[in-house]
Amino acid sequence: MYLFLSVVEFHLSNGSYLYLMELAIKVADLAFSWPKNPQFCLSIVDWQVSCGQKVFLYGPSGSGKSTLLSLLSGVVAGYSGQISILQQELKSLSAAKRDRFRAQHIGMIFQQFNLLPYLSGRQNIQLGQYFAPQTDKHNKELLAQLCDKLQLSTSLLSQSAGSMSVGQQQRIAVARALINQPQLIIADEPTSALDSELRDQFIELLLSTASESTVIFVSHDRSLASHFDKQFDLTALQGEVTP
Amino acid sequence: MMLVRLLWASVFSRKTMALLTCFSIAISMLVLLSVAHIESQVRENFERSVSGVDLIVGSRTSQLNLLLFSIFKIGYPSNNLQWQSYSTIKHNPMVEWAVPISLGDSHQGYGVVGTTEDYFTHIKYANKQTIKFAQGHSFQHDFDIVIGSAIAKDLLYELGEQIVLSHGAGKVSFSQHKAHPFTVVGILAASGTPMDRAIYIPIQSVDILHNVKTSFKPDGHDVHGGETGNQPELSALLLGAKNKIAVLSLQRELSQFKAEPLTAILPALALRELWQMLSAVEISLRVISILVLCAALIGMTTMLLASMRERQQELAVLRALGARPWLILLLVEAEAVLLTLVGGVMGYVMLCIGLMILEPLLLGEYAFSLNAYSDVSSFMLYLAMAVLLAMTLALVPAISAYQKSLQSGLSFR
Repeated sequence: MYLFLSVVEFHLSNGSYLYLMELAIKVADLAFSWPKNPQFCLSIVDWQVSCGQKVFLYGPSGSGKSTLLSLLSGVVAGYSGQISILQQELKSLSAAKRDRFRAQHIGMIFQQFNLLPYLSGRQNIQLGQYFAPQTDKHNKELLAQLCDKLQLSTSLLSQSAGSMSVGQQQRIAVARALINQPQLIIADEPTSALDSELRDQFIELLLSTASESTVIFVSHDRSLASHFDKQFDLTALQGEVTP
Repeated sequence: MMLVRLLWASVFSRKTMALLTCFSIAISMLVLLSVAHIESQVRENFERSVSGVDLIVGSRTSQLNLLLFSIFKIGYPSNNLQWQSYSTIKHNPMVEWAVPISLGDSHQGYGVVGTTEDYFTHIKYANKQTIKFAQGHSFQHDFDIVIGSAIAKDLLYELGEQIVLSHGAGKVSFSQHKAHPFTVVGILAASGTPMDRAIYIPIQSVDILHNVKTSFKPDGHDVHGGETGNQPELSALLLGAKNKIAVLSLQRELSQFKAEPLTAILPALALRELWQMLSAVEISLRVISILVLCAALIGMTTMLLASMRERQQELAVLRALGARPWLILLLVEAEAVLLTLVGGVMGYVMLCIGLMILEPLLLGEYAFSLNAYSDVSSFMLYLAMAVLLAMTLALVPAISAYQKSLQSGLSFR
């Protein structure tokens, strides 16, 4: 295992090779189970997503979807195998560095309750900037551009998030996920609370706004897959990892 | 700054619960502070009531009883002193001055003190302040009377008012000394001591009153101090020593007084005995008030713990944005500190307002002077104690949130 990792690192340090291999996500020989629930085990032998790809990940409930997302975002660790996000092996980072890495490089959008209901739309977006130390916190231009693209009016931004419609909330959530210009966007069922018409609109809006990032869109609704470059089935990805 | 705003907005979004928690902390703080304050005020009031008196002498009784009835008009003398003893003690070379007092009569529930003019010159209060007359002067005739400031205020008495005294201490007395109305010639300035609620008459008049009562004659008016055969009996003597260092030997001498059994006490020592007796009460009041504070803080912990359930999503969002787990812990702790501080200050404000309302009432009704709460340093100490306790207790919800944020990933279930 050590040898394997060092080979990869060697390749990565070589610039030309890096370009060819540039992967947003590389998962290999992954095995993980929650300390409180050792029966369930998420195991993925090999899964790769290239940079810039828009990926649909089909994950019915109970397939280990939220477990995988917790791992990819570095909220939990303690897995065996390899998870590299943007060529960064998460295991090699300390917990604090993982949290900073997530703030800096990963934008997250959830199913619902994305926002802190007691803060205004603008404050919610600013909160996204707050935890990412190296971003330009006063990048008003970027915020204005995002708001323009996402049709977020000034009055909506100063409204408290709790009083917004689900559609409005999700658009704010996209703005917050993108404010740090992350290379990777992870969206966990962001459309399940929207009706079908808004759903397609939302996905198009998300993909066009995040055109420069890699997008992992997780859903149990296969009909949405047509919007994306590539699709994976989480149940099919899983396989026995021999330790 | 962002975090402060976050904390504030989060607490504000749960304002009903937060406010109720603050109130329960405020009330417990109010109890804690007022117990401490009233305790110190009682001490101060007792201590300011007697000043400049080196010894109190009475017939043989306990030192507390003598102190309480002679200075604070609480309880009754068990036995009287002979006038003869007063004369003897007065001429003792170690005694600078001696003021006799005779108790037992009353007027509208206020105690009557029979004494001499010396009372107003020798007896002091608070920091050796002399007694001042707001209006009028000391007695010059047998049926002159001097009243305390609270009495003048309550009964609307003015100089020249005619007053009939009654026997015994009750408000309603059936044996009134109607034959001898007294005239108000002096009103004392307010002192915040039992003097405000006392009526002073010349000591020889006490005797006249009682002589009239025991051997009632229709023409009792003619009976006068000239009737030397009957010397008035005394309840106690207040003494000033010539040499303050000799007070103890004077006390010893008086305890072995030959003519009759006497008790002589040092007011400061007797007060100390009183505090020692009351300390058990004080301690239990303090313990109770601290327990009340604990109960309020445990209530807050329960509230925080319950709110963690509805805040799981909130905390998951923070984690997803890159917040460190200790930040979650910090937020819960900060909320506990915030609520305790707000509650504590609310309690303090409530106490200040309460004292402002109570002060005139207490001074009027009980001559108990209640100062505004000024002990800010001990309030700070209590507040710091409460915050520390709150932080310790809040570790329960804080650590549970911390662990959840570490173990449950983004689902936070």
